[in-house]
Amino acid sequence: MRAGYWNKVRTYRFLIILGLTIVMGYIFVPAPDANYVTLGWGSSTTFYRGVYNSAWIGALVAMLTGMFLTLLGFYVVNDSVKRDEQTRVGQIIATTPLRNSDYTLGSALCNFAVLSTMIAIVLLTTIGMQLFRGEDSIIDLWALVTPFLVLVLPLMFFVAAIAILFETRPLLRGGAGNITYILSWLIGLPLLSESVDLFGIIAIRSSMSATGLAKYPELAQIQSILGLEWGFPQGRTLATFTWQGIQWTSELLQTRLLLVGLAIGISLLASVRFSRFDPARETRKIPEALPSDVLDMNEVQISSVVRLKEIQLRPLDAKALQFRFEPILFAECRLILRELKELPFSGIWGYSVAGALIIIGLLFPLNEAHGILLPVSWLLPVLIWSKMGTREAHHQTDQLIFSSAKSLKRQLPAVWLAGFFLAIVTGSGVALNLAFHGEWLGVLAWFVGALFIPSLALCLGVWTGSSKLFEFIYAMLWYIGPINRMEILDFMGVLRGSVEAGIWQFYLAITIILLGLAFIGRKWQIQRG
Amino acid sequence: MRLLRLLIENVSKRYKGSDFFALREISLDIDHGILGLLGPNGAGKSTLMRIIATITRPTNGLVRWNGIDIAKQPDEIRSVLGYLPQDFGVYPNLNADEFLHYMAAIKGVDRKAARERIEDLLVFVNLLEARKRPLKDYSGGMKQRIGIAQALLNDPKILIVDEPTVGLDTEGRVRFRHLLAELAGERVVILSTHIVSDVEAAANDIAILNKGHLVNRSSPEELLKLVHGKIWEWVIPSKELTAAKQKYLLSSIIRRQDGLHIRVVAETSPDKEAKLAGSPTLEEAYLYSISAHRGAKVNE
Repeated sequence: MRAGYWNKVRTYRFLIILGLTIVMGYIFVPAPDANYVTLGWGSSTTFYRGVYNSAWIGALVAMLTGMFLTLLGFYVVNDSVKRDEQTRVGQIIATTPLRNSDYTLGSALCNFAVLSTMIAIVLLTTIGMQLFRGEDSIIDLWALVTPFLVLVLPLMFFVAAIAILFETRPLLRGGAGNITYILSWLIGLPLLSESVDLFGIIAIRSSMSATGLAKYPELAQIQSILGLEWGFPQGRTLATFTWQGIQWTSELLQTRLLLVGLAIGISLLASVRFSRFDPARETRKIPEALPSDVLDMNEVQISSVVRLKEIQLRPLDAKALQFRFEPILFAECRLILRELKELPFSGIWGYSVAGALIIIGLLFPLNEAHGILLPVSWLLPVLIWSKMGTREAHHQTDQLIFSSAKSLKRQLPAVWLAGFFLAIVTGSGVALNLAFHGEWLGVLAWFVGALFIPSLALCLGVWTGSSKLFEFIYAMLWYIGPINRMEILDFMGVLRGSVEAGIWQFYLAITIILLGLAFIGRKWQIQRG
Repeated sequence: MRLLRLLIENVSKRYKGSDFFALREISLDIDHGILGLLGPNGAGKSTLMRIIATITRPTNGLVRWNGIDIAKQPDEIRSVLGYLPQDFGVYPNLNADEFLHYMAAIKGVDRKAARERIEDLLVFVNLLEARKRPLKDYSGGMKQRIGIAQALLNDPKILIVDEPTVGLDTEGRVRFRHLLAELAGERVVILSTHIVSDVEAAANDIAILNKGHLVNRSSPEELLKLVHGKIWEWVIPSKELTAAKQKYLLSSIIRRQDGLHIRVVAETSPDKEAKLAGSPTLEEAYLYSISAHRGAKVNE
């Protein structure tokens, strides 16, 4: 457990997400003279909120940290089993008396320890924040710490357990799990925070509201704010009240204990049908020995002599060593097609679905094809795109490829083009539909989308060496932009408003920047020493 | 014959954030033929291979290929390089044929020539029957043979092989040594290994590294002369083995009915029962060189 813990906290990923959480916490507690607000009640003349005491700041930062880390925390800890597999430590673990349930529960606890470390550090910065904001210099540790203990830590245990569960289910491992989790978070979050008050927002707000109302009865008529609201009018006065913190009812505590119990249950569930690092229980079969692998001592010398006479390595002339781009592009495209086999829905079934989407995209009414089918068509290949720029590091072929001549100018463009072709082919049905309807601006926006996706994937893959960041960002963009109709994030050009506003030009510019960054990143990879 | 010369001048390598030098002022002048690079684990062999393969840069010093500094113009050597790293991966979903075609495309080999070359190489590495199986189903030895094949795809003028026979059976190792011998005439071949017998069978020139230093560079014959008259053998009871290991530089221990027949490298007779052994082996010469570099006494 200790080794797993240190492995995770010593990563850049841990530091970056911790840093982001602290920054978000800082932003979420605006200075009194800031031109935005985050939590309170606003009328035309007055803005009401609690004094920045330990209770108020502790609750605010705890809420935000809980929301933030239930999403990002997953990606910090969702590689415990994978690490044991890759390092082959798993095979050693498999030979010990350690039960599956002990392993999964232990891994979940390790994940929880990592996330708790983040919480502890955020807590310390929260103390600093209260002193920095300067409205109340008395540190009430109980009021500051209890929202984190009661609201956030059970959530972290839940995330820790979910991460292990995902890792032990073949269909939820790797990229598929990354995408599934973020989409579940985006779709499930509004439901869960309303129905079961997952982040404690309802409990906190109603407690704050009760205290505020006691001092300012007019609050009953005023809309409350939770989230960033810009344009805080300069003329508004600030009215504060002192909130002493939430009253922890047995009902609230029971819900949190239930969450902890659920997390333990999930950790134990993860042990059911866990492969225990047995390659025979994975999809890969153990190869049978071929005749050439079997050593027959009596025949070694004779066969060596006979075989050596047959070997003639014909030399290559200068003409055979003139580089052409088509073979490497063909090879990269074949690599992509082979990787389709790794997807949850692969083989004939996967090709059929992709083919059906192309045909339906061509034949369906344009609005449905454009608005629904294109996003679906451009979600399926995400696990292929996410590998762009990372294959060399992931499969350890970097030494072979980077020691070849001009790999930057030869191989990298081929990688990008293969990803671009994938976008073109999978989205071709909708593109043709747009063209038949004379929607040339839509075709242009679609084309820019096809350029943007592999560029984002390649840039993030080259710089991070991992598929996770692209999977995360792409899923967020996909859900918030084309699906939830936010025009500025409509990189596919499915919204009429975004196409007419020329948003595609913005993505074209970003694409060029991303390609430049990908080139620079790969050059640095090849040259570093 | 075309000019082939690899000049390594005072090359040192220190890794970032560390005071540890993996290589210290190594200088080697290598032309066509097979140079065997010997050394224990951690000697710096793989680091030197990676520098020559332009995977990493030296902290100090220069490497020139036919007069060109490869740090400044790495493609000059990359275009004629065949490199088999000590640890490498493959794309598990490709089969051997597809992977070799992929690497041939990366190396700029024409498709028709690549097809013929891959056919030859698959015969050579004895993977013709397995060519259509995905590489994820390959054993370690099979993967190693694919590595050897990809290193030879572009008919390289400089071939660097780092621990190439790991995972190969005896037949495979013999075949590989013979191939190296065939290729050596018109190429620079650097064979890095800790297996002395591989070097003994193939190399006409040997360089020994230890803890980043170049300990010795000579032909096999000159190396053997170093230990001429310094190999002693006698029989000891089994219970004296531990003490013997601590006291002497043992090169061989063979258990027989009358006891343990040991061979020791020593400047003078280490025991009254000891007598001078027959022909010294290259392994003994290697052990002697490493021990002398460490400053260990070989005459306890």
